[in-house]
Amino acid sequence: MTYTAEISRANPTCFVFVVDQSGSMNDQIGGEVAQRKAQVVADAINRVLYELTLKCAKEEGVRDYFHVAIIGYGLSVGSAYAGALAGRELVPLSEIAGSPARLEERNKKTPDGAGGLVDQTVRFPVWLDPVANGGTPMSQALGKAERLVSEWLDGHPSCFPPVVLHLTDGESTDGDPSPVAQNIMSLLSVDGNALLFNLHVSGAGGKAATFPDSDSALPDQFSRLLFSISSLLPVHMKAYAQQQGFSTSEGTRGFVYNADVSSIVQFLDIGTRASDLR
Amino acid sequence: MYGNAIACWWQKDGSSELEYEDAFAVGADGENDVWELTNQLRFLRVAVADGATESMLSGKWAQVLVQSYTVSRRRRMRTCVNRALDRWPRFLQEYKDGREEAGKPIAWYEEPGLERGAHATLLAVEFQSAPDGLSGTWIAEAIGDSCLFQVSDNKLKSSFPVGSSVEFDTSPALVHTGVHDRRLLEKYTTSLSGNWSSGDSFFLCTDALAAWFYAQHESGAEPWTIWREFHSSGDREDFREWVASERHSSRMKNDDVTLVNVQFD
Repeated sequence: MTYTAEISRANPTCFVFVVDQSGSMNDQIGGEVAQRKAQVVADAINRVLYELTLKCAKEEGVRDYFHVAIIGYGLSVGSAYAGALAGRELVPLSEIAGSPARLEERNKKTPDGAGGLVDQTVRFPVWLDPVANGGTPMSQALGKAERLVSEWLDGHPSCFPPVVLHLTDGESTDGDPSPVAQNIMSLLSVDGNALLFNLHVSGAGGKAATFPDSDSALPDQFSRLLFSISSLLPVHMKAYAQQQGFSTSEGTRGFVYNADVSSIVQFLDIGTRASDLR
Repeated sequence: MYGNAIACWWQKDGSSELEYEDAFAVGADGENDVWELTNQLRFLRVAVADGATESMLSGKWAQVLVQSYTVSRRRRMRTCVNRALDRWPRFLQEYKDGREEAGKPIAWYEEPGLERGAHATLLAVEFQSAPDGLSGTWIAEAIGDSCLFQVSDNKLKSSFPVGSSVEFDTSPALVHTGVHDRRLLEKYTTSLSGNWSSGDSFFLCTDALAAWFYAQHESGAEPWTIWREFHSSGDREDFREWVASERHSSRMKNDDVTLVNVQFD
């Protein structure tokens, strides 16, 4: 259980998003800015994929350090890619980079070099659109993730353990997801157990939380359930979380409540990090 | 100064030769990564750099840094880095223009990386010779974890700037093309100086080799004996086979590797 395997083109790993697209995702998330849950999770996945792609981008193209699937669940359970990747399951990152459903132009504040900020237009790729329809077959969807990860490990037994990121409002309609979640976390590469992280988007209010080590401040049974089925952060990931300003302990889990989850991309080592002198 | 310098390098497993992102340069006459040191040479400058995996054009930036140091004389490393930083915007514009002309415009996923800039470590060493060419002084400066080892009388005499095998990680200090506050270069530059004599060996290397060297030395071995063999045989294939073997046995991290061995006769 070392979580030290290199992530490279010769030894890639997989990343599986599991996204709740049920009717309840039409509701609003709690917090100061009212947003549809479906929009929040779609933005979160597009942001993580964007960061993952930038991390692996080099002059000659995007390197296939990761193969990525997006499984949606609501009216049905299956691939949730929009555009040219629709229907695909695990897709090499270079293909993902080359096939966003569309590129949107967004404004970004950047330093002007004189202590201020200026607006800059950047192209932002979209692979997943917000969807909210039907029931919440969470167990079935996690079961599909389990199958994908298991098949991946058959072909890549030495890989860095696969990461499953589950994004939901937490109200399963096909039973307790705990057993299948435990099945995912018991899948093994020679380097360690697969990692299951959960992002809970909720209208229940309460304080946002990122990588907590206890469920005591979480607002309801859904968030506590999702906390309980989130992997403990491996040691090196806790160190990266600390570098990003989060406090951690032995019990810190890969769970986020109503907050940004894109920082997990920084938990993945592909080589020398591009950190600036400060 | 009498002797010679030889460079051995190899890319990470799974990468092509073109994707090698370390760089090295020796400020002397030579070809095919071998440089003869003659008694006309009073100064010798050698540099190695390691481009960061996570940034764009980092291999090119590593090359610009080492060349900026070895073509100049008597200038401290930070002055050479400043010159490289001044030259970089022009290089970047030429790169973008070249991509346009080649019909391969910058893709969306390259824009933020090019905006963010390139990153690399830098180790720079200057040797000076006494008139007899048989002894002299050296000064090394570094940002990051590329390392220098001096072996004298079959003993490790100096090592710089990292002190042990456990000090290597994936976040070394890096020279960044976008550094706004250039005083930071001074803050992060470390230096060490010493003397050399006829018979001494100097090894400049990037982090995977340096971590291997420390691990071997900490376990009581004399890792320089293997590296000297590459120097005396001059066979780069031997080096590459050895690197492959050490990687396979997990004694060495799979990373680009660069070794410049300066041997004073």
